[in-house]
Amino acid sequence: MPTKPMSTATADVAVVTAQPIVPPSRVQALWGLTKRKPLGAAAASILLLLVFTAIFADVLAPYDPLLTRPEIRLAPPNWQHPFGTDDIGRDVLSRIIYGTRISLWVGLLAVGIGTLAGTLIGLISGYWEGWLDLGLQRIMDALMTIPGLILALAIVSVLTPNTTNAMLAIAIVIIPGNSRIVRGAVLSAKQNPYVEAARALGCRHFRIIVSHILPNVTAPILIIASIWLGNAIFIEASLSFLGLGTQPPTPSWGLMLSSTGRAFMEQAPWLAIFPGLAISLAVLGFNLFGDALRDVWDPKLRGRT
Amino acid sequence: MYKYVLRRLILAIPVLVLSSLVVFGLMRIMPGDALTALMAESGNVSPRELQKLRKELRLDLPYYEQYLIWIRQMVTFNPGDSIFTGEPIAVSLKKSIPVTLELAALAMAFGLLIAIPLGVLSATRQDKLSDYVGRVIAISGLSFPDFWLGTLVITFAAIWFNWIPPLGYTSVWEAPWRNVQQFLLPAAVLGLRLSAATMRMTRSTLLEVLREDYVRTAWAKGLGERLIIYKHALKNALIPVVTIVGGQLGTLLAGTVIVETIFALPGMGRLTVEAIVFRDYPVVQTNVMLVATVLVALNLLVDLTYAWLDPRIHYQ
Amino acid sequence: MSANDQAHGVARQSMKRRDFLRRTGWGSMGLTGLIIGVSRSRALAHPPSPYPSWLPASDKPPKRGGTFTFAAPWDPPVLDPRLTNSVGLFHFAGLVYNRLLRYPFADEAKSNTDFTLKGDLAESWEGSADFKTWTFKLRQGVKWQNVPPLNGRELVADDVKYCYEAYAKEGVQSFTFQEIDGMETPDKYTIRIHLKSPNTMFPQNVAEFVTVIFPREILEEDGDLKKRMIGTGPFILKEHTRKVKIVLTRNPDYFDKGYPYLNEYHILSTPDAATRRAAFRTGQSDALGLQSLSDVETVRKTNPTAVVEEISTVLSPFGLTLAQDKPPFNDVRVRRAISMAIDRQKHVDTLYEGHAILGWGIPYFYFSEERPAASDLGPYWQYRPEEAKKLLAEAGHPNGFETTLFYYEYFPQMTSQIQLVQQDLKRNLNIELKITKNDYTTYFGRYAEGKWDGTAWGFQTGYAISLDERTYHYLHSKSPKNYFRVNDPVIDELVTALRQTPDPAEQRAITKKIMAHEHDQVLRMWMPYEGGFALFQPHLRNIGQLDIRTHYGYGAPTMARLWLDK
Repeated sequence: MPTKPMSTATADVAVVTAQPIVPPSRVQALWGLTKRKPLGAAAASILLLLVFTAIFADVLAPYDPLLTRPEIRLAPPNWQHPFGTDDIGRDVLSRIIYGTRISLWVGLLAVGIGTLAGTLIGLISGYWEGWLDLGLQRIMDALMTIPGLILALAIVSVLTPNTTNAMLAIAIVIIPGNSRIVRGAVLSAKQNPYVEAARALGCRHFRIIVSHILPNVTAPILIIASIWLGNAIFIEASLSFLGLGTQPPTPSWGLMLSSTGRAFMEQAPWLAIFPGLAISLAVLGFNLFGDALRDVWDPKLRGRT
Repeated sequence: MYKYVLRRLILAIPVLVLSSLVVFGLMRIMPGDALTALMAESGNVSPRELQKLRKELRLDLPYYEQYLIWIRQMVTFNPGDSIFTGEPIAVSLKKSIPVTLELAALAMAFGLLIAIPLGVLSATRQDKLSDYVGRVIAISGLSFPDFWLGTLVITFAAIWFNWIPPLGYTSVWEAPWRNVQQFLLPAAVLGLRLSAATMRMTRSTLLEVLREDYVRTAWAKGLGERLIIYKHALKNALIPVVTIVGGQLGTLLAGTVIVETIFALPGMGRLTVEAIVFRDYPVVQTNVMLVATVLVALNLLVDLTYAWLDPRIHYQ
Repeated sequence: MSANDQAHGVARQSMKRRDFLRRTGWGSMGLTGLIIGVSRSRALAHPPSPYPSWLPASDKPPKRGGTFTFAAPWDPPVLDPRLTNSVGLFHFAGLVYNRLLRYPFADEAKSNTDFTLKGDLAESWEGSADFKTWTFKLRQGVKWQNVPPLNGRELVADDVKYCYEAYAKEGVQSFTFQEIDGMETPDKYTIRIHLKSPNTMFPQNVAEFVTVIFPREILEEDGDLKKRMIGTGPFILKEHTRKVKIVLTRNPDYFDKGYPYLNEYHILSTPDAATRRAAFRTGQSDALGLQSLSDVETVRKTNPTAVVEEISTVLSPFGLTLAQDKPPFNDVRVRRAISMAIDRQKHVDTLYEGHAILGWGIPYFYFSEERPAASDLGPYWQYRPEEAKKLLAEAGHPNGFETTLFYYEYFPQMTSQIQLVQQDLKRNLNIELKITKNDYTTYFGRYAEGKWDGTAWGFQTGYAISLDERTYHYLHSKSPKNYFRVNDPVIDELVTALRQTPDPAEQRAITKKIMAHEHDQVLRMWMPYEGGFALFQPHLRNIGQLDIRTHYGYGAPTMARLWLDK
């Protein structure tokens, strides 16, 4: 909602009283946003496409993704199978479509849990400091000293290898790094004179956190989250490569890329190209969207020329 | 300052203890053990045999005793032998550490060389074409898994150029030119991935910093644009970047297994992962503790760099 | 909701679409049936590939010298032959050591399937009339390699006795040597072995690649054989850098005068398949193993001069293993139903491009002149889904059931094959097979322990040539190597009788009976398999491909006869 500075108000008073100020319609606001941040808009459309595909996979997919027809295996893209068929004759397009569900599931769950938990820990740690901070951060440090892939590998080896456990493992890997960054941002935000003033005024902690700390913390969290969304799909692919992620015959992009994509790279490159493109598209979408969100939300950047 | 350093050093100890517990625990919970792996492909060993071997390897002792024995080995720098191969762990570490260090250093160099200039370019030309192009390239770098890129590289290098890096690792002291050939491609593959994350972080934090008051002040003072950017802004933008880079080092120290496998380099990544697969407890535990110790030291360095870069964050 | 559930949910929801497609005749069943009908009439059990499976020895005069380099997928887990049968060890240990007896080399063999026993360290051997005592006469003047602490001393019968006693005491070969009652060495070059029970095939057992003769000094000094490897063989182990390379050099004092031709044999550890392929293409590796015909064609595009040999497959090392000591698989009707519900011919036609064997467990040349056709494998091997469904219903499971399968992906086609089996069982019998891909240790541990439920993708060793090992060791209910958990008194009787039968014709008859019974009771469900192809650089000579004895694998000893024409 636009506000006018006092200095120009007098001349406009007549105008103001004569015509009520109509806020721009939602559509106009969206269009304005799109014009200002085309990349972000593109990203949003990509994400919408992905979500749409995931929800309506049953209708969109031309074939059952698990239907094997080995007699037409390794067929290059053609009219019946626009993305070709894989090593046992399954339609690649259908598998990519259903794979959207798996990838979104992987990304959102892993990063969702990891970011939420990490943020919580970072907030608590950074805001209250003291012994709590000491203890929590030592545990986070300990987890961080174990290289991510190794930790994920070990966790999945302990639990049964499947998609859900891979996601859990990735979430656990995300938490310490997240908490550290959030903690840093909280510490930084606490130096802000507003916060000191609010404390002096006796504001409740919750209010301080929500009004003053969180806004400063959102930007780094979003950036990290968007990077991790891509990373998560990716680590899942690496775990599949090592045999510990999604199990066959689940159509996850990572599994498709790491097993059949690599094995038939020369004879049937489409088996690697399409899952690879799908992963790239998803990662691109998540990351650019995160960027755009930050550009729009970050209070420090709002009033720029 | 010294009090801070001392305090951090003391705090590092419980961290290392916690790490050791985590890695010890995880290895023990995993199904199967090293003896199973040893007997693989043939295993018709009688239970009595297995018992005997277990006793020899002290795997029949209760967990806390095994843990204490191992801790003592760590503290006295005497890691013992691998269960699986019988080779002294110190020897295998001596051989694999230089490989990983070299790979990590080259990859990070590649990464930073690409990332920082691209990040600065993108930030200073925000929302212009070069920004978009830069960001899309960076994210593409992120989204191609290293195993896929590595396979692509090695397959098509052979087909198009009839050349692949010479197999059979030789250290940089023995045969420098051969060594460089062996590390160039894997370092590039790894570096590309690293550069993507670093570039984006550089860009976004630089953007924030460029709006800061003190940067605007410097601008108003009339110093050359470049000077402003590099001296004032970059210094502050580097804080989260330093965190990321520190984190990347952690990944590099053992997460390079895939690239090492494809390019046949005997680094710590392969050593550790294969040890996990074969449940070779002493090797995994020792390797992870080594990496942990290095990372703790690095974290301390990162924190000190934080404090130096942003005087507003005061360490208690 | 786990993703696995999602995947199943996906399958269930799409049932409607599949039914619709089926009814309009465009569904998988209709079209596929048509195609299979056509192809089956024309498909051979194993159509000839364009590549020979045997190359006779070169008649040019051999040249000495040169280095053979191999980018190997394996790294030896341990150097100790008592502790592992892994090909990673024996693909070079077979050149550093000798055994008492051996099989023909590539320049001596008359064909791939020439399994005439020859003397290696032994010059001659004979068995007593009751086949309980075997006497071996050693060659004289065989020297251990000239490396301390052996320093080229002569091999004596006591060395062999020491080895066999060590094998019997601990390790993975103990079962083979525990049937030895006692041994004597009446003189320096004679060893007499007494067995606990008659075994006409004992010589075959000591000719196996893994029964190498190692020196007592090393075992006594080091306490194990993990650190040093010194033998009597044609090559000396010069360098062993874990995960990097292995270097073997010619043994100048080798007893088989004139051999080996090569100066050195280099093995480079290259775990990635694409990298090995690239190494062969760029000439860094002299040999390459490939799984399928299309792989071979792809490589030949860039390397048209490469020599290709088909690795003829004589048995199937992998198959569907059921926990047949527990319900539901202890009911033979269930096993038969499952077997009839899997379309194995389809695997051959599609996954293996027509080029694979149908699947049986004993090397076919032990019971048949030709590779068995589908009709030789019994009624329960044939693909008869309606019968299968009826039989399963009879056994009390008209609506199928749920079970699990765990495996380790030895090669990518295995995953494809398993998924096809999963589809077949679901579609024909409504059996839900939940697949878990394990890492090697987890898989092997569970499999060998023998306590798992459900099913697994089981295996038998790839190297064993001995008929005794392939029957008695793997099928007898009391054998620790009986991973398939076969417990059948008829089999026990047959395999025991087999090892007491000296006459080859009778041996064949008994082996045939074992095969028939195995297929009748569906004790082990072997799956189609292809040995693949071996590619060599064009300058190699004496590379005739021998069955079960790939040059760069277990059949390494034949490398002593290899020479380079350049």
